[in-house]
Amino acid sequence: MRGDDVEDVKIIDLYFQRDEKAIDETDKKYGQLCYSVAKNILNDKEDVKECVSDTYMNLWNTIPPVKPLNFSAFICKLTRNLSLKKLDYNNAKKRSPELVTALSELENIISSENVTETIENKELGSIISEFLKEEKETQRNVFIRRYWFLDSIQSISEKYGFSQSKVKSMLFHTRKRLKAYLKERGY
Amino acid sequence: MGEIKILESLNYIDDILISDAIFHKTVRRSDKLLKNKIVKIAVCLVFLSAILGCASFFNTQNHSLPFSLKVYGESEKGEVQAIDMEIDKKIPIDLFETKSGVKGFVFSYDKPDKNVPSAVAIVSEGDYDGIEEEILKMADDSTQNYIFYVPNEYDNTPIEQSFFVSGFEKDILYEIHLIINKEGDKYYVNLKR
Repeated sequence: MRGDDVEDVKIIDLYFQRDEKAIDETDKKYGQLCYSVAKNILNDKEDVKECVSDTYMNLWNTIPPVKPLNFSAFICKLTRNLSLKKLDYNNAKKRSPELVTALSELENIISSENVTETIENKELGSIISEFLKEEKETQRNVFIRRYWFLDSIQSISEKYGFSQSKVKSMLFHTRKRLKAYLKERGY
Repeated sequence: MGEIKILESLNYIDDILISDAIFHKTVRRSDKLLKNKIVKIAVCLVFLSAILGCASFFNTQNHSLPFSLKVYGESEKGEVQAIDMEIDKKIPIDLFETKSGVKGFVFSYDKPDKNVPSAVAIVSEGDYDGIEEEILKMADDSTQNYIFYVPNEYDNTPIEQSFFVSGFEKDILYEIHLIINKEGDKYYVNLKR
């Protein structure tokens, strides 16, 4: 168990005790992360703040009964989901510039014929999970930082100590492999 | 709309992948190599020998290479052909794809030591561990050492690229300076002085 996990267990205990310190501790540890997840999706500061507040409210209402095994992923997923829900796909103005460029990079990974409601997001998500687990650790993390957290190329290059062109090249090849992987599975 | 589907589906990837990406220990670029004293010294020596080697080569060899440098392309019949490069001569070149889907240009030169197996140098900004074997399987000339250059997708032509070749004469490093141009769908390469 990582040090972070021990700290997370203590925060979750606070939720179970209905102690309002739970929110403060969550904000202290994950506030900035939640803020960056929302900010990378939404273009409006007020929307971002609202999303982070909604994340805390959802946590308060969900835990208990839910006891997340992986609190960091749980909270990030919550923020990402809420931010995407807030985002009006038809209103390009609401999309952050980072989201717009990331979306353009993800174009054509799956065939447009297959983009129907019949493809369950959950099913596709689990196939993408399998694909990512087969990737090398660095390639996988760079991909997730770009398309899950929607971090900018510049921020990823600083974080990992790579040139921006290396990050772009890594992403290009991972997308290409993902496209082939999905095609093999009929997507 | 496929991109939005991917974006939404990513929310269902395994939690462990997300937390790994949050807590993955990263290294700042400046900290990567030069923290190590030995690496610093090695880098200095390599640069010094490169400068001395190039200077010596250009002073004594009148800009010609003591080995033949080949470039690979496809003939009109679709057969792979190796063409000897000459300074300032425009030669057609093709991208070759390895089994794992990496595309690059292939060059080769005579092995300095015929008793050692062929080697492959990958010139790329990406991380392509293991493709050396794939390239050697594609290549069928055991007298050659190979250079596989993977261009960056964001590079615009003309692409200027230099390779260094050693092992022919003691302490001499040969610089191969190439310019790759694209005309229509076709690539051409020029060996420069």
